Amino acid sequence: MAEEHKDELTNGEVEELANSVPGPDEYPEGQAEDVLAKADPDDATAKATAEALDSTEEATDSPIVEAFDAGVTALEEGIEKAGRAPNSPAEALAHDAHGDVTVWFGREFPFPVYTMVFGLLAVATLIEVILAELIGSDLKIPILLGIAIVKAGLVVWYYMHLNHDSRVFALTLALPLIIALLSALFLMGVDPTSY
Amino acid sequence: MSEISLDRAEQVRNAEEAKKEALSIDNQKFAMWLYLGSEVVIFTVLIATYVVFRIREPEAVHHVHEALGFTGILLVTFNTFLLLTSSWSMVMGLREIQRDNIAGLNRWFSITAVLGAIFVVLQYVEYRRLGDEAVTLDFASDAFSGFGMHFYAPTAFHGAHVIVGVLWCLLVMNRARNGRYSSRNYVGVEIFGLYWHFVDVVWILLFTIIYLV
Repeated sequence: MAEEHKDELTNGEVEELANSVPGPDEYPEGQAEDVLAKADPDDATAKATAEALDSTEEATDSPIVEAFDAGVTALEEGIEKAGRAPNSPAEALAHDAHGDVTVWFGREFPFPVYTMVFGLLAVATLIEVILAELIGSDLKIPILLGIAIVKAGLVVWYYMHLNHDSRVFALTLALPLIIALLSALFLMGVDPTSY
Repeated sequence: MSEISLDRAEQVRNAEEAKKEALSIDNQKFAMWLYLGSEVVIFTVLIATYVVFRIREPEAVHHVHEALGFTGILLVTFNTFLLLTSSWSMVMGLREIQRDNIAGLNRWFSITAVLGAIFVVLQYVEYRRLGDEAVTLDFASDAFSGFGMHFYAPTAFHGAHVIVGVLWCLLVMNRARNGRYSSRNYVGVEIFGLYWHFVDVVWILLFTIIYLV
């Protein structure tokens, strides 16, 4: 029967029918109440509909639903403000790389993150050279080595994308480094004439 | 109903292909990281050898720094800035290919290649200066208790990496021009980037340990 009815309608008629149904925001407020007021008071269907309407309104006014609604609204606004959420690390990387603004420590800078890192590396290098010329004490070595390690860390973290990529990649760098460093420390501790 | 089944089968097939592609990309990157791990061992040994020399012969290192003078340190500092800038231009090029901008990638990568080449030339200039100060590979003719071989081994090995990097950069640019990379397929660019940044990291450490400390 349904198929027969469908056959009788042209595509244009189906579209017209679909457009004639009002959207959820197009029902005037209080329309349902008006329709129910005009209905026969003894009509069981009208009574049940009125009760269902009351219950629904009561439920939507409850604090739980209101809190949920506020939460969803805030989430939607957040996503809209931050841009679409990334679906994968690669997408997160691309999203990060495409950004022309960097937010660090709650402050917004009008440069991509890569340029910010470059600026930090350049400033750190200048500080290193100045300190190397100015400081004459034994403190010079740990301070300069500390700055160099931070600079290397910035490159590995941001430019080599360890902040987005798998931690396994970090392990492939860290494990040989630890083994080689331990071996080097061992050699440093041994008298060169003893081996 | 049959159309729905077909769509579903196609979706599954597409998902499987996407999964295979993602796995292949991860494998290629993992292989590069493994290679870099082996490089870490070599460079750590070379740097540790220099550090042992630095601890045992502080006077010799001090004399070399004096022979280099402030202009020598300035030259190396300038070279360091070249390499840092080349790393930045490299990663900006990667950013462009992620936006499907091949011209942008080639523009940034040409900066990387030029800066890398200048780095090598300036390193040669520095070697010539040190050679004039009798910093030699040969222990017997070296005027600074064997500083030469401890210095040239890590820095020249690093320089060789920069030369390879410059050639690799030109290769990537050529491939990009031939349409080998896009915003959906740029793992080749990313892998080269890993290599170049690693070379940069090594220089950051060498610069501080050899020239400043």
